[in-house]
This record gives sequence, structure tokens and C-alpha cells, in this order.
Amino acid sequence: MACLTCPSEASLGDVALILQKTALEAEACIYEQEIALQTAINRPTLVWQTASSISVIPNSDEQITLQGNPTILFNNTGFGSPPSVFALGGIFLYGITLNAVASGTVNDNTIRRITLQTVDNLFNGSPIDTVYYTVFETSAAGGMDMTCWGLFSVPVNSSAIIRFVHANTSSNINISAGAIQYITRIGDNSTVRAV
Amino acid sequence: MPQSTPIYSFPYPCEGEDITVTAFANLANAIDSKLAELNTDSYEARNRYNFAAETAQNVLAAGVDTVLAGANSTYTIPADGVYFIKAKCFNYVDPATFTSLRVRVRKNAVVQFGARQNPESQMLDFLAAGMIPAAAGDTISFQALFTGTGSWTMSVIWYVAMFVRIQ
Repeated sequence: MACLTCPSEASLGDVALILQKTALEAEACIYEQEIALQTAINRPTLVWQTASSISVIPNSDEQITLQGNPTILFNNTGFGSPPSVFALGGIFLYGITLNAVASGTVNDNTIRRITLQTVDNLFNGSPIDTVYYTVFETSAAGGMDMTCWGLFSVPVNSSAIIRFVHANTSSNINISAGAIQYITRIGDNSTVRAV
Repeated sequence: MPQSTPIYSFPYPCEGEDITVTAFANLANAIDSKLAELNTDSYEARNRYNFAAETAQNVLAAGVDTVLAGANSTYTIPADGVYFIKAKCFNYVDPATFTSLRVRVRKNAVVQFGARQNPESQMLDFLAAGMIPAAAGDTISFQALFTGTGSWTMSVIWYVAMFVRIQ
């Protein structure tokens, strides 16, 4: 489709009017392209970090997604809080990094596991996809650093949740302040044309 | 009195004004300038910063949390943005015994995230990955630690990829 229309025979003499029309038509065309470019390059991304520790009791597979007084480090999604970014639907890179430390006695070789899961809000939170990351306690000072991430294909109006479970029965596990969670939209669920 | 368009201020003469070649030139230059700006944005979007390298081999003493040194042990962030960073420990020579292995990623010498394994003296390659905002000039570096006996010769194979450019 042409951006600029040709001047009519009757208006050829009115140069000012032609230039005005050209300026406005050029602006409208370029604005449309700029919006499309910004939409394509500004991947909706949300990165947030906990400001306080999260205490998890043994063998409880607790949801920790919004605990720990999260502070937003970066957000260009237009949504104010985490999991809401899945309201867009699409392919997402979703992940977490954390440090898990026993609040008291450490039970060596016991399990620590992160679960990342997407759920469909339209079907009572039915799971869509799940990624796990499992390590076993080393009893070394400083606890267990863990990272977990995955690529998720989710429909519109889905949520993301993170759970943590451990078998350190002698004490709770503290997810230290500074855990980072992130969601970034890679693209649409279906791509008509790849460039 | 010339006017201009509401969004990009492309100039145009008003009805009744004397029209000179300057009016054509001004409009053409203004449109050209905006297109050049979009071309730059498009180029930067299609050529997001990415970098991959392996650090030099480092020899770690048991129980010493060591900041890796030597070639490719640091990366300077080229532009403000949100970056995905992956750091994989690569083993060259096992320690005599080892009960834990850890790698951590730092930004400006502050630990951002890491990964620890419980190998029970069975060596494995493992990695840490995460996404963090970073500013131009920030330095990414790595530190590693093992508990056990002897020394560990290792390197970190790392990747840094810009996902969002902040302008």
C-alpha cells in the first residue's frame, strides 16, 4: 500500500498544501512502522528480586513466587506485578536464581528442588508445563546456590508459579534475600513469517 | 508562518506563504533524519550484543572461593540492557577429593547468582544461568569454589546475551 498519495490536477498550484499533505502522510506511515518496530524489539520483560528471606518448612513444596518482598529491577511489560505478564500469551523464557540455606541444623545429602510451572487460569489453574531443578545438600558453608529456567509456550491468561521443596527435616530452609526471578517474551505462539 | 506535523515535527509551509526550494529541502531532510533514526533502532534490534568465551584455566585450592583470572575472565557490558548470562564450569583436572563444587556470576564484584553441586567425588560439568539488568561499563566476572582436598584445574565457559536494550 502506498504511503503518499499523488496531488490532484486541481491542487498542483497549491504547493504549500501539497507539502503539508506530504508531511502528514509521511508522518502517519512512519509512525505506524515505528510502533511495529518498537513492539517487535521491546520484548516484554520483567525482572524482580526478593528483598527479604523466605522460610520454607520441610517436605511442603511451597509456592514462593510472590514471597520475599519482591522489588522490580526491570519492567517494560506494562503490567505491575509478576505472573501477570503471561496475560499476553506466547513463548517465554522464565527462570529463577536463589540461594537456599538451612536456618539451623543441616541434613547432608537431602533434596532441594525448584519447580517452575505455568498454569492455565481459565481451567482452574491446570498445569501447562513444568521444569524442575534438583540438587542435594552438600553441608558446605553458604548453602546451595541454584538456578532454574525454561522455555514455555503458554496461552493468553496463564500464570507462572515457582515452588520450592526440601527434605531438611532438622530445620527450615531460608531462601536468602536476593533471589532473582525473570520472565521475558521471546515471541508469538505461532509465527506467520520469520525474518 | 511554517507549521509542523504533531508527532515528528516535519515542517511544511502554510497556504499563502512564499515557497522556495528550502521548504522542499527542510521537509525531505526531516523525513530522512527520522528514517535514519529508525534504521539505527532496527539495526540494533537485529544485532543485539552477544558474546561467548572460555576463561583461561585456573587452579583452585580447596576451600578458597577464587575469582577467576586470566584471559576472557571478565566481560564489560557494552550498553544498558537486560542480559541473560550462562556460566558453565569445565573441568580439566579433578581435585583429589571433592564434596561440593560451586560457580558464581558477579556484576561489579558483587555476586548475582550461582550454582552448587554435590558430586561426591564424581566430576561433572554444571552451570549457573540468570537474567539481570546491567549498565554500560559494568563488569561481569566469575568465581569458583570447591570443598575437598588437593587442587582443581578448571575454567568457565560463559555466554552473555542482551535480551532488552534500555534506551
